[in-house]
Amino acid sequence: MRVACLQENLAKGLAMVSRAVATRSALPVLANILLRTAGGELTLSATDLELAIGYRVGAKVDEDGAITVPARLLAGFVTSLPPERIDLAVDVRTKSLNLRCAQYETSIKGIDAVEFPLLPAAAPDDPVIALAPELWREMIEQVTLAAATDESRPVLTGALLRLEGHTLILAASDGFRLSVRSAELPREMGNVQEVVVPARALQEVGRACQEEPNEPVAMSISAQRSQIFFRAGKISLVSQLLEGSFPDYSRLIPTGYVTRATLDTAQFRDAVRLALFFARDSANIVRLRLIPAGAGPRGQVQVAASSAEAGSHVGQLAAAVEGDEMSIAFNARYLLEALNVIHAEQVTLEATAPTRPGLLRPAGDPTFLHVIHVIVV
Amino acid sequence: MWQVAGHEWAVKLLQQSLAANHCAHAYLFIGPPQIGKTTLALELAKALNCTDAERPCGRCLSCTKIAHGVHPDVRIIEAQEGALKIAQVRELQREAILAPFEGKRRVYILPDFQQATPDAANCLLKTLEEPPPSVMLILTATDPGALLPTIISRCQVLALHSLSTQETRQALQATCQADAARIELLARLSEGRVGWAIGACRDEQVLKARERWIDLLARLPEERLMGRMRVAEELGQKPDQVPGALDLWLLWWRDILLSQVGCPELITNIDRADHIAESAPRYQTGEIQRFIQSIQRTKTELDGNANLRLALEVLCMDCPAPRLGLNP
Repeated sequence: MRVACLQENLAKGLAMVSRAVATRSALPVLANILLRTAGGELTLSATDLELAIGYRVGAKVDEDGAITVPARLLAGFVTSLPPERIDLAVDVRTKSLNLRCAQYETSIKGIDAVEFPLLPAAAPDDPVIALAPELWREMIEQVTLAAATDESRPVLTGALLRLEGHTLILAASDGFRLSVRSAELPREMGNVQEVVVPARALQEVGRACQEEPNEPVAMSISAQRSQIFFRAGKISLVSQLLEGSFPDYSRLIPTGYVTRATLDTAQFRDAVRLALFFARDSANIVRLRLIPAGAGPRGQVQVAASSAEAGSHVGQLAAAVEGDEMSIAFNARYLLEALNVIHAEQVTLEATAPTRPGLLRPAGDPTFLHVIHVIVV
Repeated sequence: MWQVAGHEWAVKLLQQSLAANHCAHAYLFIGPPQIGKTTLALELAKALNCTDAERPCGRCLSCTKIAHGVHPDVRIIEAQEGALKIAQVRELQREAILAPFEGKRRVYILPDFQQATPDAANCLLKTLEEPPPSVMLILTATDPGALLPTIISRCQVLALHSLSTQETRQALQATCQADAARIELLARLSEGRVGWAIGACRDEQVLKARERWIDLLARLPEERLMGRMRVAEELGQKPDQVPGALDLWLLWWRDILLSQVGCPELITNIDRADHIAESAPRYQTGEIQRFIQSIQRTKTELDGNANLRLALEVLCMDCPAPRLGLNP
């Protein structure tokens, strides 16, 4: 293999694929990045057998070939090189990668590319869904925050991706909260399809969308291989799907409400953030009091937190409140995380009882909803 | 072609299940150490993932990767520090819910499962009972008595036997370049542990160590009391090699017994056939039997944490002295 490329392109690619490198694995080759040339392009790939990321680097290819080299070393090293042209060559006999950049000459020991797992590729006849990167990023951000981080129920560490008619639905829940986001598809899908995608893979897709904001991001699902493919410009991403069925979440979404408050998102977010200082020592409990208009000129939402050691705090927000007065308590951290991903100006909070989950959604936007379990105090 | 020495019935059974697409989700291979349990498990993994028509072909990329231990979907999970830990089982379970990455089936091989901690074994029960659809678990164990009954009842059990000398000889001829005498000796010494035979064929040290122990042994009957104490001392200096040495001695005295009762062609230590034939008539049959029992007793006692030096001294004193006169 003999290739020439620019340091900045290579460094960018290495940083992106490094995110899929296995930290500890039974296969030593998984700690490496695969460099392969094909069709006049240099492709970098890494995988931990759960997620695989590939990156096409613009390069001048003189001779085809492939090698794998340790990811940490290569990524760190290339980042530190001066921003100039890098010449890469593989020494087949010693299985090492020779780099020449400016006044430096380096040889990095690698492992034969044959040992690297074959990366799955999307079948050409799988239906492709292309959406704007900005939309993908927002959807992923809104949903993955609710995915479970502990492995006791593996299927909950993923997000449900459901294709039905003209809509795409993403949903995730860790048992304490539930995020559901839907989006309009450019064309109608045939059958209803449901898969569970690891949240980590989706987060990487979100990151890829940020890197490649100009082109639509294409997704396709291979049902029989149980893999999902994303392609965002130079970046391609493959993730294994999680096996097992996602629990039916529709029963968790409250229907109707007794009290509904509509308030300014930014103000609400700030109030919860302030309350969190006092909630920290007492299991993050923040108490909300929803007071309808009858008692004052306008409705009001009180955001209160207190702890025996730190002290107490009350915030008062103007809000449009319908229904009965109600006191309800949430985990402030969950509330804050949800408010952080709601970009609408106004947010509504619906509650049926102090012992029933609350429903949070951007005002006037039916595409996103977030259910948070209450804390009974 | 299944690259397995012996175990024909097991291979046949597995081939039939593969052909009928009716494999169990979990297998347990039971049998003495180093008779090819893990090898059989790996061949099964190859057959499950092979892309060729004749499975396993041994030539396709999948088969080569499995043979080199770099297939992403076939994993051997070995005990760490003498025990299979619960963390390793959890790691397996985490991986197992994913679909195979490259092949058709994820295969986890857990060799010597008797080394699993009770926690690890219990943790595996759920997965063993109902693994994800594309996962197969293959456990191997030397002693089914050391496994939880709940583990055994969740697997299809294949009890493998030691190979015959003939099968071991063929396996050695196929895999190692060595002269016929060496192959014959190793085939006999291996007692059907083909893995040991192949290892010993490649590693000169194994036979050299045996020479040392046999020399010491051959010397023992001729020694007086002080000499025997010195032999016991020499033996006791390498505690980790004592069980192996005692096994060699057992075979040696078996040879003498066989030679005496007129079956010299069955002896194991054929490289010392002359020595055995010459010394055999100088013992009484009863003496030989008693000493064989004595060696066996010592082995049991050492397993039960007896004082190594004392046990060996008693053993060395039990050794029968040859009758003089026949060979001045």
